[in-house]
Amino acid sequence: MGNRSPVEAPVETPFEAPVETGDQDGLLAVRQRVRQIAADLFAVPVDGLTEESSPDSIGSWDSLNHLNLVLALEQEWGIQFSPEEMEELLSMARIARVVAGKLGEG
Amino acid sequence: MRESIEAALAAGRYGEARSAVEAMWRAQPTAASANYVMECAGRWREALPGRPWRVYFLRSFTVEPLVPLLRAGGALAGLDLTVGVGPLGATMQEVLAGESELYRFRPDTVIVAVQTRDIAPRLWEDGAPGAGLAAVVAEVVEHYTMLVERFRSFSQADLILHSLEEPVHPSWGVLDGQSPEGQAAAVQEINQGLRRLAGRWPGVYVLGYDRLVASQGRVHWHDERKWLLVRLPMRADCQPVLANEWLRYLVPLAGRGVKVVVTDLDNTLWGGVLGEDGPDGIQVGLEHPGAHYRALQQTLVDFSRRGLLLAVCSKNDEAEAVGAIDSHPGMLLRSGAFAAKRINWKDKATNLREIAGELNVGLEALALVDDSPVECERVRRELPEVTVIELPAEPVGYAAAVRRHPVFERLAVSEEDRVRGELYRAQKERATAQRQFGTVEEFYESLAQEVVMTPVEPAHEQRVAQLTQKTNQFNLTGRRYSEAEIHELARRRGTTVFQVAVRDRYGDNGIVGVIVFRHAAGVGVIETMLMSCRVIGRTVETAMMALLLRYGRHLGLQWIDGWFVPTAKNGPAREFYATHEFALVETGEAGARWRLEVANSSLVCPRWMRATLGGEGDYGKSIAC
Repeated sequence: MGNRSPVEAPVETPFEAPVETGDQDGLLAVRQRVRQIAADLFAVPVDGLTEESSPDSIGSWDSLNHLNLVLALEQEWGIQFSPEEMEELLSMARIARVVAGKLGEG
Repeated sequence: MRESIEAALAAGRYGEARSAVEAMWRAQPTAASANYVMECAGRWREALPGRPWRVYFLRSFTVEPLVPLLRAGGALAGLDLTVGVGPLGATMQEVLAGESELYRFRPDTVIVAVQTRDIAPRLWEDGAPGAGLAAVVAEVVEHYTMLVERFRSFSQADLILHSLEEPVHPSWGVLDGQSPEGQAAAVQEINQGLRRLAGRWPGVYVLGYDRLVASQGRVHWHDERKWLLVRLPMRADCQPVLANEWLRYLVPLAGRGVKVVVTDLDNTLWGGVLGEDGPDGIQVGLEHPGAHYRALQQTLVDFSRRGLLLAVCSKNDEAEAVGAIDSHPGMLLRSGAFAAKRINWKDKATNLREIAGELNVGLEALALVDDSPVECERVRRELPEVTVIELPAEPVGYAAAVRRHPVFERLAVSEEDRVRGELYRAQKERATAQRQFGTVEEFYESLAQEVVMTPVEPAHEQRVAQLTQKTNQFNLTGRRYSEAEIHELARRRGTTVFQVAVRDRYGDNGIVGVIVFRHAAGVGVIETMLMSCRVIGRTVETAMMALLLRYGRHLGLQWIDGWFVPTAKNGPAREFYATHEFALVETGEAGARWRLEVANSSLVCPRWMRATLGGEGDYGKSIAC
């Protein structure tokens, strides 16, 4: 093998900060997206949702729509929730935390 | 993006809004986007109505989260879907009971979404006894046979059966593939049985579920946790794939498929720009990158075999482009393959309108395949009826992007479909001839048309159903029938379904007309009468009516009633009854009812054509009008 191609110089890529609970920008972006998804699914205005919004405060957040929410989140970020995690996703704040936590794992 | 969608909706620019929603949906086909799509679709419904269609699921797993995905995809493909879902795992009970929700729902299409692990748990989990597997195979095929038979005794709706899926990890490991009695072989045998079953019954189809699962990767497809938790077997990102697969059946069944594929040339049928790179510089052939363009051409060849017409619309010099099409060694498609060509410097919207006019189809029958986002966007805005397929940035994805689109699907291919390109060439010669004659009568004389009307023959039930699905202009009532419904009507006492074939000196037009005629107690009623746009303006309708009158006399009818139900497109048929001796009886919600007194009618077939009523019985002797 006399003709080895030269090793390519590493291409410089912009550093992507992992999304963690501590990363405020990342968490903010996740929160905004979660709210949009929830607003579409539960047919409520985005402004009508708070961090505390939960199945108790949103009438259309029934068990089928909870499953739809889980699936939409999984598709959005290419993640999968365990059954235990699925049961935790019961307010806007908790959803954003769990999603951001899973994104941080990778 | 949402702001621009909202602005377009508020301003009534619905074509533009739909195109933006479609782009959003392509990028994010989730349950959340689906709700937003449906909200938008509700606002453009009046301007861009979808065809109402009712779908019922008999299922062994949770399909509920897929329903919004199906409805959203349907709304973007011109379908207004109403979906019903039967109880989990009660498929056979629902089919057997004539009073079940399944039949009360009055579905147009029923989808049987049943998995191997539910219908044949022993086969799915345990491949142990060789003889046992054969028994399971026979049992499952028998189960489906009974299901189809009983279903047909209650309903003529289309029935789509999911094929069964092979296990990811067979019990015997690789040994499974070495024996004719493995689990995989058993599943394949069941699927063969399903295909044979579908072949015996009109309106029954098999959906290749196993192929679909494999296309996404069997391992990737399954989500065991959600299966155990909520009986949902597949991952979130595989659900839009299954929903789209359902649409590939529903779109053709509901008659929303397109008839013509209009393709661009530069960077679409070949790589490069002919005007700049020259005929030797464009890329198409067997090697990279020309092979990607050739793969798209092969796709179009396949489509033309299904009965779709091909057309070209490109900004180029016509002589140069036709030269390249006909002489480049890598091309699969030559210029003779295209039923219409618009190679010029006019805008695409104008050209597409002209192509629709030349081929005598509506704009909704056209699909444009183009690589330029700008051209695609302009056509979407100006001609929202046209299906626009914007090719992906990388040519390697061209063929797949076009192949998976539901508007090109056909569930049956008739002899007419296979030779459609030929039929259109004869049509062109007729049009040329028409221009040469001084009077229209001279033209009719020159055509030497022969019209043969007979009760529908079993081999042509599919074509007759297809005509009711696709004919919009000369269609007195706009009623659509499935193949199964035509099959059933053709055997019903007191109902005659006529097929009308027309040939002339330029060739055979094939079956181009249909009449569904109900008769009892001295009265006949025209339930449906239609004629393909292929023969509009050639007095074929008068010959059809003259033959129907003769049939009415044979039956001893006093009068023949005909309905006219106005639709968005059947203007060309509006004056039919008034110009054929019918008198208006009543006009109401259901349309207008006209009446022809059989005894007093002097209606005859025009002298320039020969019309024959054929079939069984004493009217079977050919009668020249």
